Amino acid sequence: MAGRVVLLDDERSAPVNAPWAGPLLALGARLARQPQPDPESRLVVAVTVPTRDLAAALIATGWTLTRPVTAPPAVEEVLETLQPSSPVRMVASRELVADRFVSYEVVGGRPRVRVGASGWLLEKVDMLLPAPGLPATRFRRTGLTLPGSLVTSVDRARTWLVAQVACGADVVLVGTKSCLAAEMAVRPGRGNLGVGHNSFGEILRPDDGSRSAWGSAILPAARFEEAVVPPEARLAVLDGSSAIGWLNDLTTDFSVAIIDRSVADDFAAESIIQLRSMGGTPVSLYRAWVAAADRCRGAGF
Amino acid sequence: MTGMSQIADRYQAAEDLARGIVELHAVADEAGAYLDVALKRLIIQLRAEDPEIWQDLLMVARQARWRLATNPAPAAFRSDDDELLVALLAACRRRRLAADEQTQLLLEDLARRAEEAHARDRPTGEVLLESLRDLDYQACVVITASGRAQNATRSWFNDLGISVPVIRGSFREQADVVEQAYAVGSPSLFGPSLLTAPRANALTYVLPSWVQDRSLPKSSLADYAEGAIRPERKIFKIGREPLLDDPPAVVEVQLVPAPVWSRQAPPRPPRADEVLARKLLLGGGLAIMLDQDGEHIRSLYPRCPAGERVELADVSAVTVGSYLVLREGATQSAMLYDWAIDLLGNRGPHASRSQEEWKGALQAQLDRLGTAAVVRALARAGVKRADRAAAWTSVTMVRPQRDRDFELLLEWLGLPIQPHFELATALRRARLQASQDIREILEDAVSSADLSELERDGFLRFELDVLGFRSIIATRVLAISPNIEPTHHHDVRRPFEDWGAQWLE
Repeated sequence: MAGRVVLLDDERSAPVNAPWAGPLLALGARLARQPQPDPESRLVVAVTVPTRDLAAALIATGWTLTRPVTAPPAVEEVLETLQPSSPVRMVASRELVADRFVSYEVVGGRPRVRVGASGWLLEKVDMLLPAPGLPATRFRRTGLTLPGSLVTSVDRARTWLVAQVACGADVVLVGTKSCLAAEMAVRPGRGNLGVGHNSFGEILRPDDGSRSAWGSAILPAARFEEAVVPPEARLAVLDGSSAIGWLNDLTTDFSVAIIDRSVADDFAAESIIQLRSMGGTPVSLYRAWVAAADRCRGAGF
Repeated sequence: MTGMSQIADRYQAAEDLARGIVELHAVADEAGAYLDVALKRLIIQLRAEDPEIWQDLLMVARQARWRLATNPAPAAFRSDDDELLVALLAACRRRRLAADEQTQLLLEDLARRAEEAHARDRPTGEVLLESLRDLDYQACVVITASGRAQNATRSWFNDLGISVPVIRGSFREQADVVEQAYAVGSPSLFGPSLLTAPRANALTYVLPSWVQDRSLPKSSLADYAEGAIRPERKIFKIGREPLLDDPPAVVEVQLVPAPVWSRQAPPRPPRADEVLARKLLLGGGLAIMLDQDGEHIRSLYPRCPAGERVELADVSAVTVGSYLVLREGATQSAMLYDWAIDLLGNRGPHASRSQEEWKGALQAQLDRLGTAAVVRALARAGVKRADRAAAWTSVTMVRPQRDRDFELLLEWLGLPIQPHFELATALRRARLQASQDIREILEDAVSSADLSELERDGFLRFELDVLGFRSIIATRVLAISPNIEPTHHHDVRRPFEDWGAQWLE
């Protein structure tokens, strides 16, 4: 049975018990299992917290670790259709290599793949995916982390590598950018599993403009006019009053509005109520919540 | 960033209080009770009178009563109340001259009670001090409802050598969760956050027993939320209640001093060159008219990390306590517009002409058909935010938010989509750039300024070295008028002098 949810400031800190984090992870997971809403409608969940810290990151993490991971095509299949010079993402020796595909040839009886300036034996290549449109500014080699306690506890260790290489901002976090970015260094985990803990950043992989593969986006709440919500985003997590002001204009299937109860003004709450009264259908989450909360004390969430 | 154990403590405290009990200590306060009764009697007496001439006196008297309810410090530490008392006595003397005998007696009574209450120490303070002493001054915090009460209480504690922290309004300034918090004043003065996001394991409100409102506040979401937080309340009466002969029936429960908004002219729709706006009273003796349909206004967040303190906030998010950044004597938007046109270089004049053309056409339709008809027609044509039609004629709104709305609008006006679409989009981008540039300049100025002065006085002036942008003020919103008035375009967001907020906190 997996241990309790813990949080660590960074890899050197001692884990601190965080029973409060479980239901937030569970909320994200719950939404990831929801069937798609009808076209023209979306599900908005408003949740209040005594302090905003880490709530957005936890909800997004629960979602990301529950969303289905698509099995990658076999390397040989991909090789058949790859055009030379097209950008690719490749996993070899626990590294993610993003660069141009050069060639595939058999040298001395051994098949080799050349990507960018280097070559790999085919047998060492775990994954190869076309990355059409990937700009050269994102070409790099990145070491891939091992799956940690949280990932393992929800049975995602096997698909961890595939998830690390998948690219698409399926979830966006909207709030004070510097706060959210700083929180990416925190590590959520499960005690008692004897493995390390991945940071939020490793699990969510927010796009910072230079990553070769990303899984989320962090958008500054105050600049709605400038912000581009990725078209593939399915969940928007809105952290704070300014972010909640985006609700009217968002079109993601799911939105979670996080209301910080320690903030004096009621603007966030009022926006939600207004939205609700403009033609929303209230949905009861209670039963689902209780079940989820119970589950988070056990294995998985 | 908040530490992991601090976060856990906050969640725990919230859970404990949600299931627990909040205490209210209603302290007998003879002097305050007499003042309260005297004021209520006067208000009843004045019901038949013209409210405008009595406005000043009542505002000062209400402020005096407010301070009695919220400031626990003894008289020696409430010396800035002298000014208030002087103003009240003077107002009573002035009004007595033209008043009838009954009213004269009531005015004399009010003046006398105010003097007595001013001179005596506060029973709420005595009870507070005793409670803190019982805890040995450890692991507790005092929360006051106003900055004035906070300063007075801090001075008082310093004098006694007590190191209990004194914070204002909410728990925000306090990072750790303590054992016991004492809030001085009635629960509704502090809002729901004290109860729903406590940073203490136990919460007690200390107030004079003549304050009638003892309700626990709840957030607007509480009625709709599953699992809303509603702690139990236990009231303790402390001290001997004074005997009041013939206390008046409850006249007004509102304790917080509120400005009296001038009697509104009969409502009328705005003319072509007007918009609907509300008056905001600001710190520093200023006020502005804030347009209701405007999208953003530059706001200051002293608590945010440096570099993120100046942001464009939604106009509807502006509340009492928000800080606004304004240009003295003129608005920022005119300057932003010019700056943006400049940034466009050669295309600037074309963009300017394009704006005039399509906005002129829209204005002509609004004049001809009336706003409501235009909104309906646009909505029928498929424009999603047709309700914004009138706002789109303003200089500050370069073009409709949504691309499709803009295209449909241009079609409806009988204008070609290009070059208007492209020019307006370029202008919007330039305006954003200009806005960002200005924001950086402001952030610079703000990071080197002493914001504690702003928090204390509600007003701060920055002198900048940028052309056209010399004097910038940051000011706290003290009150927002419930009345919406048509206001000329040019007068919107332009700060002007208004001492209507003089006797607000």
